[in-house]
Amino acid sequence: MERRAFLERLRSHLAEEEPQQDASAQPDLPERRVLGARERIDLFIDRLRELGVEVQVVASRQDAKDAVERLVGERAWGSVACAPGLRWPGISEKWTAEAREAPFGLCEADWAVAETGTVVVKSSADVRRGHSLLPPAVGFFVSERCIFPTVGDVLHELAAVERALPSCISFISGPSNTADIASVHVVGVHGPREVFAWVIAEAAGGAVDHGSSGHDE
Amino acid sequence: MITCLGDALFARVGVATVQVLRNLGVAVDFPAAQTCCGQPAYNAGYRDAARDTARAFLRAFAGSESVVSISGSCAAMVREGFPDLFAGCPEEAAAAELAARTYEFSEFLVDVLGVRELPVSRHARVALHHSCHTRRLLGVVEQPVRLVQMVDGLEYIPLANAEQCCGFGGTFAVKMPRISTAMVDEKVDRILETGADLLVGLDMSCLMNIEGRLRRRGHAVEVRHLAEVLAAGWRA
Amino acid sequence: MSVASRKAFDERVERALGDEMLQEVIAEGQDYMQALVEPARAEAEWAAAVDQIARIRAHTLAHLDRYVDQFATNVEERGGHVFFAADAAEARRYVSDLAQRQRAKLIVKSKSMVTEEIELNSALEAIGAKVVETDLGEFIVQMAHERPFHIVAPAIHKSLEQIRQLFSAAAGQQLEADARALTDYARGVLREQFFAADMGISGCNFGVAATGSVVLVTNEGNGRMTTTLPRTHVVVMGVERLVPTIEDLEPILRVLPRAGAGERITAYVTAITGPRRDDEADGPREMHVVIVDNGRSRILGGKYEKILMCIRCGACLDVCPVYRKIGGHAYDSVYPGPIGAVLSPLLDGLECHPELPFASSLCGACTEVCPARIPLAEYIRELREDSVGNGPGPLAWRLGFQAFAAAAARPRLWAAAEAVALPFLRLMSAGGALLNGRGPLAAWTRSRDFPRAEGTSFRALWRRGQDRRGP
Repeated sequence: MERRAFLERLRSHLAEEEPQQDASAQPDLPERRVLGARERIDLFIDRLRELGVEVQVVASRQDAKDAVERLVGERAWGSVACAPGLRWPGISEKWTAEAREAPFGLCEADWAVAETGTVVVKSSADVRRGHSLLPPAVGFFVSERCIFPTVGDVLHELAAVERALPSCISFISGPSNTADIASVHVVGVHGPREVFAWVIAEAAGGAVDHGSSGHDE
Repeated sequence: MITCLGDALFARVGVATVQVLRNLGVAVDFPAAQTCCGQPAYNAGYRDAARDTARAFLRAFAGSESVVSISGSCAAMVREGFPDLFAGCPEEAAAAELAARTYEFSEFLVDVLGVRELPVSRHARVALHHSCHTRRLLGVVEQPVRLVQMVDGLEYIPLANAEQCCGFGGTFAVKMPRISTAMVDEKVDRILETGADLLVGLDMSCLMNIEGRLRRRGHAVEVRHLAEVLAAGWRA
Repeated sequence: MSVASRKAFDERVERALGDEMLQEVIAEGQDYMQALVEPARAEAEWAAAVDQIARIRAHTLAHLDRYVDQFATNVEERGGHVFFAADAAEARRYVSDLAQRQRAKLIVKSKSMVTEEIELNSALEAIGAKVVETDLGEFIVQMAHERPFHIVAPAIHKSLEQIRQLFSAAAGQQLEADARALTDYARGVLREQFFAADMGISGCNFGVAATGSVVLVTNEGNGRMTTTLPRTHVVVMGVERLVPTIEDLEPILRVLPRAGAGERITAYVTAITGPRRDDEADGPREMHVVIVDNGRSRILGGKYEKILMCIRCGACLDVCPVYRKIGGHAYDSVYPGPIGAVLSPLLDGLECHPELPFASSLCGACTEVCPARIPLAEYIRELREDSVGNGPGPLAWRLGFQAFAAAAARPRLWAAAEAVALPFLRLMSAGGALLNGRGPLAAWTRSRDFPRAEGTSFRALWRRGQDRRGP
């Protein structure tokens, strides 16, 4: 059906009304727990572990890289798929941009959510969707400063850039899973089966406190 | 409110209710013009018949200070069904006014009369059936439990899957008898699992359904409306 | 209700009731989900989120034309194509024409109830494309040539052994009776399909009007594979599946994973905005969004409008005592359970589903649990009004209720009728005639004893008491 006719058909069933102000998510939820920086990070780590993610807290990005190199060595993984910008000399021999055959994919989390143990990754020219999807094992560098308390907080950040949203944003919480076969919970279906996270401490100066929500403007 | 079912088939429940209320010092009247609240017709989709019935009901109770029902689902009909039934009708205000003074039996005792103890004895293991409309439409859940616990000698055992429907559903029981029976079978299983020798409830429609299946399956669990247990065990 | 239709319904019910394994599976599934959802529902944050969902969805529906317009504009601005499908036939035609133009031979699908509603798969197969369902539960029922049994868990009715046999037959070898092994088999088979597919078709949990984003809420990863690997991505969505802004997703994401799967959040929440950018190396090159009306606009603005607020969480199926007994297939509709009992007659017409409004005891559990605050039980009751008002319906019921109402409005007539009927009833029940499963009360007495009638009405007793006590 032609667009105008389609919309007109909808309109014809609706009451004549002045367009109301948006009833979008209003900040009248009960007082959300204000999470201090330490609390936020601890909660994030707890939730990640609940989801079956292998978490390691490291003091610096260099430590995270060292940890990845150790893991890759232990597992004898032949290649590591990640964005070229994330690559470093320690893995450059094994580096690939193409995730399809790689046993391990590595991503930088753009944001993370403490309440749900979620990492959020935006697609771009360098960051392929496949990096966090195709390999059977994937890992994330999560800088403490990008950990927000709730999903709503990250959505708020996204809303601020809505005109420039990437083609794909993935909120990833743990490995792929299902209970579709006889209600038995199985980890690792079409997406990755193993998930790793390295939580990288802030540089001296402490983590940024995001408080409860960004809705007070 | 004796209800059509109570009037026709379970007069003893009405008698017990009157007794208990009088024992508690309440002046009880039975406006003889009452017959049915219209719930069976309403739930079956016969709106006009339901409204005619309900109109007569409004007239019957026009002069009553409070209306106490022996059936939770009938009280729910007055409180939740009448506003819909009479929306936009001349009786709309009268219906709202009646709804505000209509109570289910256990609710009346606990919330209105403030009963906190009862001179009642009965020795039995007892299970309690809440009935769906009483629970969900009236929000009456704690009141019957508290009354049961006030009875000296009753051992109360909560039912597993207590919130699950017994399968009566008005005309559903006879329109979809196979499904209804499967549902009441599960309710009977849960009751038998408690080892209760007495089942107490607030709605004779549900109890009639459950008792009917209990007997057909050869079980002797006694089935009573809460008012009957209170009246029978009232210490002089 | 035609006799043939009722007979078919009864047969489906009997099949379900007689299947012990099925009865166990459904009951266990319900108990499991209820145990996960109940505590969450008691939290203050849940109630607040549910309130917000109701408000956002009601607002969206009240201005649906505006939001559809905005959504479509934004999809197009980001390089996507939008097709407005008035009905199932138009939607099928668009997608199959597209598939034909693109010479799509292999199509992978992630879960989408609306594609089942419009019967898309058969239209694609008719033009020679192979359509592969990739959601594990849908993969199973597709293999078994069955309809989904449940909105969230399509194959919950199948035992491990049944699935093992299905997969083994397809694999040409005996697979282990182990969920892990069977899942790995499916993963292996489907991974090849994802990479080889020409087209990926997905549903859409919610579209965001302000950005033209399509949001998928999933666990298995097949949603991401379907919408990333093939060169063309087609989204099929019901016209009502929109929210105004990205932030409106928050209360929905707080509630949907919990109500639907008992989880705090699903493994993946993916927001797709347009096809891949020119400089990106993966993602579909083309994106088509098919917005489907198929009877939804008729519901808009009407007394059943709130049914369009459904977020497809499946919570109503998890608490329904009737579904607990008869399972999804007995409903014989794309959408089973309480949501189906309302939506299917509204979309297809009451005459297509005459039994559904009556296959309910009106217990209200669905209304109580619904996170979109849809008055499901009330709608089921209202569909009965529509049903008996229009159709011939059993004349006996209508006359019966009219006679009842006539007597109920005349207390003296009522009392007189009781005075005649009740002693008779007492006689019958004493003699066992009412116990025998025959006659007018057979539907009751076939499986239940009838109460021993006391023979006297309450009002008669009261009157006697009054007379004794005096004025």
